[in-house]
Parts: sequence; structure tokens; C-alpha cells
Amino acid sequence: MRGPARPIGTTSLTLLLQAVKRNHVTTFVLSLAVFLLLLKTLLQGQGLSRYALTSSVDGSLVVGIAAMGETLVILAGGFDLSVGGIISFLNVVLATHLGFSPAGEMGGVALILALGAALGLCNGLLVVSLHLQPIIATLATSFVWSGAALLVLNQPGGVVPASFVNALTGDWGPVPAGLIVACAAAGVWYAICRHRYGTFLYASGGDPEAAAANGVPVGRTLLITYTLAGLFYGGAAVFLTAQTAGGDANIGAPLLLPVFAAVVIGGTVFGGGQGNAVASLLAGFILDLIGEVLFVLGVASFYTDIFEGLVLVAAVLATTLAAALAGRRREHAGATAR
Amino acid sequence: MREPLQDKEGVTSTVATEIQTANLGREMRAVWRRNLWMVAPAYAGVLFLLVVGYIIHPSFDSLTHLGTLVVLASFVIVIGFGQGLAILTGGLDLSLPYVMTFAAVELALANSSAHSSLVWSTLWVLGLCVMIGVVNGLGIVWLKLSPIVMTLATNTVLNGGVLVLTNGAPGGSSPGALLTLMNGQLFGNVPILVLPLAGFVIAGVVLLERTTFGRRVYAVGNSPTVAWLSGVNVGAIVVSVYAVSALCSGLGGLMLLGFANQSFIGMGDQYLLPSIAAVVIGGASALGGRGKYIGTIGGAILLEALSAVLGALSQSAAVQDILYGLIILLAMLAVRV
Repeated sequence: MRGPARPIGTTSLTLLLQAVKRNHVTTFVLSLAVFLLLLKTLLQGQGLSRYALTSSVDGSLVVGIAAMGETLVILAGGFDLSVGGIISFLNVVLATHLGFSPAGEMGGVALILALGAALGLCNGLLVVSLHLQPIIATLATSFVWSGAALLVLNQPGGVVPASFVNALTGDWGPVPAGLIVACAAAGVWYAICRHRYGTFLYASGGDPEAAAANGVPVGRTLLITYTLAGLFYGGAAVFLTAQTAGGDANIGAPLLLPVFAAVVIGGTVFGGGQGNAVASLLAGFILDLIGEVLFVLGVASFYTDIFEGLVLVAAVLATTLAAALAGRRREHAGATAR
Repeated sequence: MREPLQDKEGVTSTVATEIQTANLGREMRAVWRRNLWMVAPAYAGVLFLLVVGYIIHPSFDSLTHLGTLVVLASFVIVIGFGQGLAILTGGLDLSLPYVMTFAAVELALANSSAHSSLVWSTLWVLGLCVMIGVVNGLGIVWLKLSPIVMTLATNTVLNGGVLVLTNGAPGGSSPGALLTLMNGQLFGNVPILVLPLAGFVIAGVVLLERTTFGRRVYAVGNSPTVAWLSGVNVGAIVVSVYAVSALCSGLGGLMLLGFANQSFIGMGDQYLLPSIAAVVIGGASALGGRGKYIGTIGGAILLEALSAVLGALSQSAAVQDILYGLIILLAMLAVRV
């Protein structure tokens, strides 16, 4: 998908400004993330060490990747409350079934990604084939998967090989592994956008009836959406297992609200049709940075939540303001990722 | 003897009147039947569960057990009214957990001072909750934020607020009167709570079904634009809805405090999903505009009865959770069909 040919006189700066205008939300979120990172570095007094960057990225990746999956569902006009349950279940399965060889580890990761997709597919079938309302269907499945997680591992435990932990939380050459995982997740998202499915996704979420009238297979799109969301949850679970080096059936439950916060800060609109997953990933990063900045400032950790709530409101307001300034109220469906 | 209607020219038409009244009666009966179909599955489920419970454990239907069931279900019955209102207008109140926690913590704190008066403390706490609800509503109406965003933000801020208030360690205990209300019994078996709970239920049903406010809530839920064009002050209705929802959450928190005689961080977390589930199982549409409080009550009792039966069936929390989720799904399919 190439853009229009460049007219004479269009400078790179113009193109950059056009790209920014088209993707104003992502730009805003990225700027906020960079600002917070710089603020933290400034306040800490030390330079931007690789360790600091890695720990920031690692701390936010689980929420960020899970939020990418949730964004997909919300873009399609749905709702997924089962994030926590699915991640808990995948976490305990991985912690109890991870092989001790590189092939075993990769096999484990592949298993979890596939399992996540399968669980997502279950959600999708309930919503699409059985026509259940997404809120209650995913609420119910969250109980089922949390319960299943308890069945697998009713006490925190599991065995995670050190090589697995190091692979995902260490460095791959000069680059932190977390950054590579983040880029991979973003890459998957951009692949989705380029594909015809991406257009269908925005169309189904924006206006399902109009989309159906235009030949978009809304039902199938929703099914694929929930499945892909499950895939992202699998990715989040893999990273979580590496981070915590163990399995805990209760680990997913507290993730629900931060994931929603990240989706909201990333500019995705409940109801569908507007938003993008990379902004949610960056928003996960922002949520973590807020905590770190406050920590560096010496503010008691109790106040972090208050600030997070305020940032939530401020971010959404700023997003709306940015949209108004950029001159449009609503992205036309199927357009570029914002 | 029915008076015949008179049209403008003063011509009476008894035949037209008769048909009109008959149609009205038929319509009202149809509405009543539709509401019944919407609400019945929840109560059918409750009956079914009570039977199953009795089969498993013959003392299940004893008054004591039923009394305990009602007390345990009372929390969701109360908070379900508020959440139901929010869902009716097409939104959601995600600030429920920490409004509950905040109310409990604040009353416990107020109660721990020597010169506390229960009445004034309770009014103070509930007043604060109403203010929180108003803030929610204003954010939704003035700032045009989605209800999910606004209430999520409020919940997060209240979370921090409670931590700051209590320095991370909530203390204090429940006022004695509240303890008695939640745990005491009349005539040996019937919980005292049943009386005020019945009053609350009646008030809730009357508010939604018989007042202008209730009609306007349904109007806003069905179509804010049409409601606006019909002269309904949509903004005021939305703000009131979230104020009432926060009030109900606060009441729920106080009830929890009285029941457990302690407040702790996160005490409200486990009530968010059941409050939504009760409303939806009771026949409400998640998109708004449709639903009855009677249905929510049925949903709340069903969820509690389900927990009780599952607890009797299996000791394993895992199996209980899995079955809980599966049965909610079945209940939803039944409501839909």
C-alpha cells in the first residue's frame, strides 16, 4: 500500500507533518512517553542507562502487550473482560510445561501462543455464534479460565528454566530483549493493519451495519479479532512468566484495570472504529513511567494511583483536543492506523 | 360504567372508546408478559438452584440457610440497583469497588473517634459518595468522557485516596448498630436486614417504574438524542444516575463493613463483576434502555445461590469458579432464548 506520488515542492518536513497529523494520537502518546522518560532521567541525575530503559520497558510490557490484544477487541466494537483469566491460565500452563532445552522453550512459547489464540477463539464463538453480549460472555469465561488456572496450579510455583528467564529479560546483543519483543508485537499489529483484515476490523467496529452492507464479513472479522487478541494475551503471558520466573493462578486478575487504562490512554474509543494498538503499547509504558517518575520524586507510592487516574482523564481529554485540532472528529473506517 | 370519550366536536363514540380501551388492555398485558419473560429466567434459575441445593443438603431450605442467602445476596442487590441504573443509560460504573471501600474505610475511621455519632457519620460518608457520583456524572456530561473512562479514573483515584487516608493500613471497626443490623436476627431465624432491604427494594422499584425520573432514565438509555428532543434534561439524568449509583455503592460498602466488622483495601474488588452479572442476567441489555430492577434482584439471588450450591458440591475453589462461569453462560443463553 503506497501513498500518493509526491508532488513537486513537498519536503520531507511536510510529509512528516502530514504523517503526524494523520497519526496524531500515536504521536501524542509517543511524545508523552518520551517526555516522561526524559523527565525520569533528568530527575534521577544519572544518564539514560540501558538498565533503566530495560527495566522500564520490562515493567510495562505485560500490560502493554495485553492492552494491544484488548485494543483489537475494542476496535471491533467488543469488550474483553477475560484478559486476567486467560493470562493466569497461560502463565500456570507455561510454568508447569516448559521444557529445559532451547527447543523445549520455543515449543512452550509456541504452545502458549496457540493456546491463547484458542481461548480467544472460544470468546469469539460465544459472542459471534451464540450472540451473547461480550461483557457477560467474557466475564463468564474469565471465571472459567481463572478456575482452570487454579486447577493446574493451586499454589504459586512451577519451574521456569533460568535460560528462559534470561532470554526474555536480558539482552540480545546490544538491544534489550524486551524492546525486541515490543517491536515484534508492534510488527504483528502493522502486519494486521496492512492486511485486508485490518480494514474489515475498523469497518466492523465503526459501523457494523454499514460494513455488512458493504460486504465486510463482520462475524468472521470478530472471530478473528478475538482469536488474535488471545494471541497477544499469550505473548503477554510468556513475558510475564519470564519476568516472574514462576506460575501463579492469581497473577492475572489485577491486570484487568491497568490494561483498560492503557487502552484508554492510547486513544482507543470504546464502541469501536477508532484507535490503534501501538498507542496502547506506548500507553502501558507511560503507566509504568508515571510510577517511576513519582518514585524518583520521592512521592509515596500511595499517590501513584491518584496520579494514574488523573493522567487517564488528562490523556483522554488531550486526545480529544488533538483530534479536534487535527480537524477531524472521526477517522474514516479502514484508513491508516492512527 | 365507562364514560365515553368526546372528541372536539363533542361527538361521542362509544365503539371507538371500547376498542381503544381493549387495545390498551391488550398492550398493557403484552408489556407485562414481555417484562415477565425478561425477568423470569433469573428466578427460574434461583428456584432450580434451591431445589438442587435441597437435594444435595436437605437442610438447605431451612430458614437459617435462606436467611444467610438473603444477607449474602443483599450486597449485590443494593449495588446492583446503582449499576443497573448506569447500565440502563448505556454506561457502566467501574468506580464501584473503591467507592465501596472508601465508604467502609471512612465510616470505620469516623467511628473510631470518641465523639462520633452514627447518624451524622453515616450521612457524611454517604454524602461524600454522592459527591463522587456527581463528579463521575459531570465528567461524563461536561468533559464528554466515556463512562468507562471516567469511572475507571475515579476508581483509580479513590484507590490512591483510600491508601493515603489510611496510610496503607485501614483500621477501625464497625459501629455497633451496623453490626447488629447486618448480623442480628429477629425471632431467632429471620435476619434483621430483611426489613430495610425490603424497603430499599420497594423504593428502588418505585423509583424506576413509577416516577418521572425512572421514565427519563429509560428514555435516555434508549436514545439520548430522542430524549433530548423530547425535553428531557439528559445531562441532569446522567449525573443523577451516577450519583445514585455511587450512593448505592457506598451503602454496599457500609453493609460490608457491618457484616465483616472490618475494612480493608480491595474489599470492593470482588463485587464489580457480580454487580454487572446480576444486572445482565436479570434481563438488562448491556447497551442500555432495557432492564428491570426486579430482574437484577433475581440475578443477585441467583449468583449467591449458585455460589452456595457450588460450595456444597465441591470443596475445590477451582471447580467452583469454572462451574460458576459456565453456569453464568448457560443463564445468559437461557435469557437470550
